[in-house]
Amino acid sequence: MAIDRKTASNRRNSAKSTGPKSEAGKARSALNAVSHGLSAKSAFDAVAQNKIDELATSFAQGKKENQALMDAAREAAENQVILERIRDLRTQVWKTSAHDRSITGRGELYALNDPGNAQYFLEHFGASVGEFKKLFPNELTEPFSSDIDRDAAIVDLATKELAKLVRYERQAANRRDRALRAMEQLSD
Amino acid sequence: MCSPPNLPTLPLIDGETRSDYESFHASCLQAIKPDDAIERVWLQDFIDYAWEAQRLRRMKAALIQVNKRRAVEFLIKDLADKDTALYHAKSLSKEWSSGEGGAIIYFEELLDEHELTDTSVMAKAVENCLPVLEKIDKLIGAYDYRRDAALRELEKRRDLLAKRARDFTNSLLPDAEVTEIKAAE
Repeated sequence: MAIDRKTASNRRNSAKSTGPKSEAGKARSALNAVSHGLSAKSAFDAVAQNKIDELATSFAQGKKENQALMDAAREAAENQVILERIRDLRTQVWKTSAHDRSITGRGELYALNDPGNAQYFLEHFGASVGEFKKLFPNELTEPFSSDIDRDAAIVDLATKELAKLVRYERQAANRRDRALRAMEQLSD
Repeated sequence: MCSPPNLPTLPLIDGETRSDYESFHASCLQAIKPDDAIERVWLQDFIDYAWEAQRLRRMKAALIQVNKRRAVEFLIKDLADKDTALYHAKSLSKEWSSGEGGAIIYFEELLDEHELTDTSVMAKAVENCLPVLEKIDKLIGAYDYRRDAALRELEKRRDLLAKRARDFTNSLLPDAEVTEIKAAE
């Protein structure tokens, strides 16, 4: 049947889509997952739950009998845990950027730009350097001329990722501070 | 949450040292003297954002430095004689960047000859990396804002606690009666 054929074709095509291929793409998509999970309360595992309980109790200074106060303390504690995750992630972004393929692999195959090497490559591998460049653009780019040059590229890469985290950070900090202020009113 | 040894991992990257972080942390702790868990949260915010913004300022300076070298190379290619522009621009700019006297004098004379100054080099350097500088500045702005917000929250809370203490003390004092003292006849 036509519908069955269409379904089978969709399945075949979707099986071909296996996500990001390059190291940079993989690193980016890994961070996407984390950043989406940052603000989801379901993302708290048992360790995080314990941390939240501990923090909430210390925010409320042990007044567990005051339910409204404890609710606000818990809200503040949950957002504090999110903020601590973002803080760790910020450091991680710098480290991931430094090890990104676009940085570590830069210029590894730069010698292929030499016409003699390009000819040899074509004869032995049956592909032009131009085609190869589409697959490995970083490797064929000119190597960094100095460590400072390399650091500048890392900064460029990292700032893109850090900018994505700022929004999550602002939201979590605002929610936490609102809850802490509410606690002050409730403890009057 | 507040003292560095309790942090599972310190927010450090290559080029930063544990001792620098700890000494910065200790100075902030000494200056702010948090009273309880809530104040410690804002102190940690203050430390994190101040540290992060400082890191970005360092990166920004390094980025401008790299681009100053590129700007020198660009200006040599643009202003020098054909031979120097074609064959020596890169090596001269590297020598200039590492502070070699000959290259520095050569470049100063080249600028003088075309009525340009160091500001022209800086302008070209900034132009080269403007999109990244804008991103860095935006991040620094966001982190400075959060750092100041932490201090504001801390200040508001301390004001509120002080007001409560004042009100409480006043409520304990008996109403003073006004007694008219007559002048001696």
